[in-house]
Amino acid sequence: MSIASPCINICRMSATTGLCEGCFRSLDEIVRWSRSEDADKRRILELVAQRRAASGTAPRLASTEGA
Amino acid sequence: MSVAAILPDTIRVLERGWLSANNVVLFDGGRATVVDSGYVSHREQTVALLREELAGRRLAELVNTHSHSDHIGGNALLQRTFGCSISVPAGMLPAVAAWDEDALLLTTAAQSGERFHADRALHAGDTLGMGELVWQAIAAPGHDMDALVFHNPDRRILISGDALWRDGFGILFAEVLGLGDGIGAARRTLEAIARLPVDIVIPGHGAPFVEFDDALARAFARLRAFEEDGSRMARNAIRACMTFSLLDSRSMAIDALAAHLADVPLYREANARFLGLAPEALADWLVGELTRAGVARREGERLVAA
Repeated sequence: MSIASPCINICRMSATTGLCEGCFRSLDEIVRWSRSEDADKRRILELVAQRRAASGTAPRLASTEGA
Repeated sequence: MSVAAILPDTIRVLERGWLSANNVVLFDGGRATVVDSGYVSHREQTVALLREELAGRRLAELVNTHSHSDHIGGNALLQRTFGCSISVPAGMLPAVAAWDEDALLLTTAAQSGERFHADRALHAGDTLGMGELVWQAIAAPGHDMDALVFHNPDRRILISGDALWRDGFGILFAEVLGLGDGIGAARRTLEAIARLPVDIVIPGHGAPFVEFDDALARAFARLRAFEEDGSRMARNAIRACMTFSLLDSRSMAIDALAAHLADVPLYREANARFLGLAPEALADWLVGELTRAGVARREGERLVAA
């Protein structure tokens, strides 16, 4: 089975961290995801988990209004 | 063989989640084409991702597989930023030119978009040069009655849009809305696709995959289930489209949900034509479905994207 992308559909780059505010990946990590081998994907997922923990947030939710 | 080993180096797939369709970037030396542009609220990141991938090369062309919000949302900003020309399936050209938000299913499904100018119409049978390969545009009605898919017979690659995914296909809007024979069209599209030589599929959503026959079998099975039970198709459409909306808005008030379901044409028609539920009953069912599926959770009086 393919490893699931960490994208949570909040696709916005943070100007301060240079990472996506949703999935905590860099532009390069998002761009290369679909052609990465599984080992590279796992490495990216580990980095994502570390960055998320360091930022002190659970998977982040935007506070926009709904319908 | 892994997908990365099969895809030519001239093709790059920018894969995100479900709100933004994949952006397929195809390079011809210093010139690039991108197929589909993602959802409007992600457009700045789409530009940033493309800049990263382009690495100084020029984005000359943008091609759309079909006219839905998650495929055309970045068109206007890409056009402004890169000066690329935009080609759309011929059938969607009038709706784009007039920016008909009903025909583009924006108002119909409570979605957003940004108006853009289409430079060219693509017809079934047209050939396109992208990624140092020649692609044939093939009519793929069903999910969108004007959709195209792109096939390269040499490398046996199919860019399938939302006509075929690893597990299923996009909502059959015409069928749900009562505007056309979406199921019949989708079947003929799948049959036509099944006759093509294909080793790898680049879908509109999800990772590129090599399990072509299995994906076709699943798609045909889903189609049969929809044909036998229209209510299953309607519930599937409501669930999928509300999931999409929730990914966009991130949360919504539960007590406003019944009115929303009665107000938005897609939900209203799906319910009236196939389910016949009171809006409150439909809302209750939906909250249960979305929370059970882990798509959303209740936080007080709000439904929040998980």
